[in-house]
Amino acid sequence: MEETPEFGSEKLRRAWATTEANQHDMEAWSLIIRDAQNRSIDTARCIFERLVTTFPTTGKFWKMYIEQEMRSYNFEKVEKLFQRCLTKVLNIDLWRLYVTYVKETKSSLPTYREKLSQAYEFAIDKIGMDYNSYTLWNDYANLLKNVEVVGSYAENQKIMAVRKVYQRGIITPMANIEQLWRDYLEFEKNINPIIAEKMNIERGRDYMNARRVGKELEAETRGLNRHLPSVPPSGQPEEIKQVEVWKRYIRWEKDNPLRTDDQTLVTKRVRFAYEQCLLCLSHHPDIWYEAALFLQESSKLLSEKGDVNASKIFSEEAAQIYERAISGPLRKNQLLYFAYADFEESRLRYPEVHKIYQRYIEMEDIDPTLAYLQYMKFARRAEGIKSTREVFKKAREDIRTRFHVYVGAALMEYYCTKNKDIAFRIFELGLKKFPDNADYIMAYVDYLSHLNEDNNTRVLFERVLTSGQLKNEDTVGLWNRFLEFECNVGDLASIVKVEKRRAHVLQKLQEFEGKDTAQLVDRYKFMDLYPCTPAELKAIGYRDISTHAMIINPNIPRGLSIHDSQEPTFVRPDFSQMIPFKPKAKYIPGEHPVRGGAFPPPPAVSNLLSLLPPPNCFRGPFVKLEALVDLFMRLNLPEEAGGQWSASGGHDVRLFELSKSVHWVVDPSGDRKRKLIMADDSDDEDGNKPVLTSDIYRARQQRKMR
Amino acid sequence: MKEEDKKEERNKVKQRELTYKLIISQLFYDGHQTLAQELAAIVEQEAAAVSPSDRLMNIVSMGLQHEHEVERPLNRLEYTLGPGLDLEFETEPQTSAPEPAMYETAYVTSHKDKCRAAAFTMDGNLVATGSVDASIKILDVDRMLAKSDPDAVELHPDAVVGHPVIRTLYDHLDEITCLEFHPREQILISGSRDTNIKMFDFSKTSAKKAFKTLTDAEQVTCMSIHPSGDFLAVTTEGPVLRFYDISSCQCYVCPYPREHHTGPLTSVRYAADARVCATASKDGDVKVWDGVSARCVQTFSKCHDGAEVCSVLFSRNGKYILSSGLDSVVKLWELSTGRCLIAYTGAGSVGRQEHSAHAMFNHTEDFVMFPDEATTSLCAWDARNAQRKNLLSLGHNGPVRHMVHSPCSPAFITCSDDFRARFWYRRNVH
Repeated sequence: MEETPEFGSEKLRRAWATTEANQHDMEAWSLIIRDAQNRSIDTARCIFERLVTTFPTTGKFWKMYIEQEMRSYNFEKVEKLFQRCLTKVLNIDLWRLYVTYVKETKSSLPTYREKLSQAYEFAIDKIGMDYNSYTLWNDYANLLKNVEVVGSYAENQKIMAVRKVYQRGIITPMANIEQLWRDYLEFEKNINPIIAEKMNIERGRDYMNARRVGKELEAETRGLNRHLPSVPPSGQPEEIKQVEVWKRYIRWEKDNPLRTDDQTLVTKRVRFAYEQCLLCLSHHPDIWYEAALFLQESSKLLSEKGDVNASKIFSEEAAQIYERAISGPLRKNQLLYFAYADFEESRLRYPEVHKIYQRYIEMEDIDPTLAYLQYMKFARRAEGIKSTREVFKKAREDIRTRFHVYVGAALMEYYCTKNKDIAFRIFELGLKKFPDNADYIMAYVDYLSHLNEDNNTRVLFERVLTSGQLKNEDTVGLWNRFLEFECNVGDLASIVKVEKRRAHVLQKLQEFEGKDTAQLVDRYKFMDLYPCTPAELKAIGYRDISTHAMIINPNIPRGLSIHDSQEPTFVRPDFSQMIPFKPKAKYIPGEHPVRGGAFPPPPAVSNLLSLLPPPNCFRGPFVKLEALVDLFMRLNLPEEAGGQWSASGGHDVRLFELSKSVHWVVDPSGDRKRKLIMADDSDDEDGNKPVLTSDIYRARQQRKMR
Repeated sequence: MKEEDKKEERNKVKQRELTYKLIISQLFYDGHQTLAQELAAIVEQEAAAVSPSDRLMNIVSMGLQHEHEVERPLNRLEYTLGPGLDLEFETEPQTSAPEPAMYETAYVTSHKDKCRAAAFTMDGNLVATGSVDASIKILDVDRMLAKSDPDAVELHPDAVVGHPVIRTLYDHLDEITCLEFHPREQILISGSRDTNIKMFDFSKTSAKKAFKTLTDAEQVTCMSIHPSGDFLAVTTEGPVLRFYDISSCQCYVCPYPREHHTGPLTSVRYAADARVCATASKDGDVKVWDGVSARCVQTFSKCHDGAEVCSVLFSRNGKYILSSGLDSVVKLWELSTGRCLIAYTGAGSVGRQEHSAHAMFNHTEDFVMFPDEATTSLCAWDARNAQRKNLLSLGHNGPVRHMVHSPCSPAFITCSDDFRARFWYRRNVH
């Protein structure tokens, strides 16, 4: 970077050093920024320059920089800065600053008004969709209203211009849209009340619609921080939350909240949302891709509807998004390059695709292997095998490429041209370059064995395993493969032979000493089928020898991994080890082993208690206990009770007869005075006499009789 | 099994002896003779038997090379917030958490009487405050922040933000003493001096009354919800810790009378894995209870020199307990050894503390905080070395009786006798 500015304190110097080590360290930057704002612009300029190159999408930093320049009246510099940032950074505060700047500095010019209205027009065009753009609209309308004109023609022109601004404004969802609408109606009324009334009816619905969407917009974007500087993804919870809110907002815009038929408007709004989002999340490849994809899709939609021009524009814009992404912070992201290339390929612009791949491959500090492979695939699709070979040639000459390119090229030759020999030659060529790479050799072996070239395969095995260029650990995988191969095509003698040789190598690794049975398992297994149960396997000491091979057998129990358990399990209290407790205000000592409470009734009883009506529901009859007990004493129950009664469902009349024979011992609650009522007395007259209402039993019995 | 344990114990003792020996010989080697001799005297090592050696230095440098290979499994919370306080592994980690003195008041809410209780949700999106006037408020953190965002207020005075108080609950008859959010459901649990514990379902906007009530016989002082959300540990003005089964409303206690406290309880906290829970009492003790059997497994008696203990709090990994007492000292206890590791001193130096106050960690457990009553300011320490940090003036006109920190963001809430609850936040600087 450029020279280190002079810093007054050690703290700042350290912060500067931190930002040089990690250019997105916000803590350090905030210290530096605070200091820079108190400096004169001449010494702070280099700091700000670095700030805006590190965070080129953060409107707040640009604004600080420009304000600092404006304070010392460096208007030429300000102009240049605006040129650099304005169209790229759609930040409402930055744009407002721009308009203010034009207002303040150009007032002496003869073309002041034109300049200013141009500035407003420009701003509204670019950022009029912002939720906080009310002041822009309002100021612009006021500016036009205050123009002094002579002559009726000019007057008319003026009215038309103002009306146009208002009418555009009142259908844009934003904060304070109500005020704008009121101002507009006021404006129309001052010209002509009749027209105003007409306009009110005509535009009212659109305005209401916009107002509703404005409210929704506020709710959708709540919690969104539009001033967050764009930093590489860190996985912090706050960042995850922001990404979620942004995505929710974009999804909402895609759902066409304005319910308009104008596809262009919807696309524009979504595009604006994406642009806003990218200011904060420019290091997130998914946003870039989704933005481009959206434009691509809406371009397709429009072309289906027959709007060729708009479709073309959106298609171009999608390409621009990709272009910006890979020339911006994500210039090393292969995903975006490939997506961009595929997009251009779908538009049949092959030269562009070539340029994209070459651009990536030409970068210095990258691994171009995957890019070459994709490049070759594209070449085959678009231009045929000849072109693929050119690419492969280039890849071969590139010293950074790895073995995958050879495998890819060979298989492509085999699958596409159906020419075994070329593929064979490519594999041989690769083997010369990567004689010590087990993965490569494995791919070669796979190829040969699938061709049923048994002898060639065997020769290859022998060649690489005896060449001595592979490390012992690496050969284990190959030996396993060799064994499998012989198991499939060889005779028993050769199987045993290979197994012995493998055992020899394993012995050298000192891993499977004395586990001959474990090695035997390998002879009989097939894919994930094993000749023993998992428990037996474990007892034998069998473990997939080929740690290099990616086959993982889920049947063999592995160590518990704590990371996987998403839902943590908690220790739960065991109530059988505690004692139930019912807190009691008036505690009797000795009532419960633990002070301050008593034993609650057992669960079944407390359940019954909870089902019973509360005590205050009971208003009688009250029983005279002595009499009742006495009654029970004198009661002679029938001998064979059960069978007889159940026959008639338990509601036998006999039951009542039995009851009639005894003295009822009840106490009506009304006078709380207990008295003995003779059953016979009341029974005789129960047809005529009013029954005591509190005697529920009697009442029920009466109802039954009638 | 027992044999093995014993052996291990003996090995540990031996290793400790060896470590001291190494330290002494290293001190000799580096020329700190007097220090080495002093240390030798303290650990009863024959100083003459130790020769100067650089071995410790070599071992340390070797160990440091391999330390990162011993990886500790991190759970999701630790992954996002950092490992928290763990003195066994790292003593000087890089911290990105803001110092407590840098927090600012983001919102102030007012009750009609003294404010005494507050709680955060697990995700830190909502807070609840409770007051002596028996009312509870639930506030939305995002809205409080939006209300006070200096950028937003300055630039867009016309922007509409919803009111931060999203619910007001009114179902108790007396002071709200404690609040807890259910870990999964939209349920707020409140404890009160009217001896009731009430549960409010605040998912509906119209909720005012509780949908469930647990009736105790004593004034509820504190409670802690089991991390599964199915049980509740409750402390009252009595000495007995209760466990409530929320679904059946049944109450259970430890059956052994002599294991209980002898004075009124002030605070209870579950550890994050619910293996244990801790209580503090006015009898001056802190007790640790087994999460399964509810038996007392550890007692730190007279842990604040006999002063009433006002609060307990587990560190996230459950290895440490942070306690505060009426003596204005905050202490960190190691559970495995049962010792006080660190005492955070300096609060209460201006005037004696008369009311109870709570100590807390910040969300990354890099700092310990405790309100100083006489100056109504917040004392803060580095959690690992008890270094004093800058004071933060809390701006309350009465003692701060309760405070709680957000579990995942730089925010906390202070409740004071001046009827107000203040929401403090450290904004991202950019």
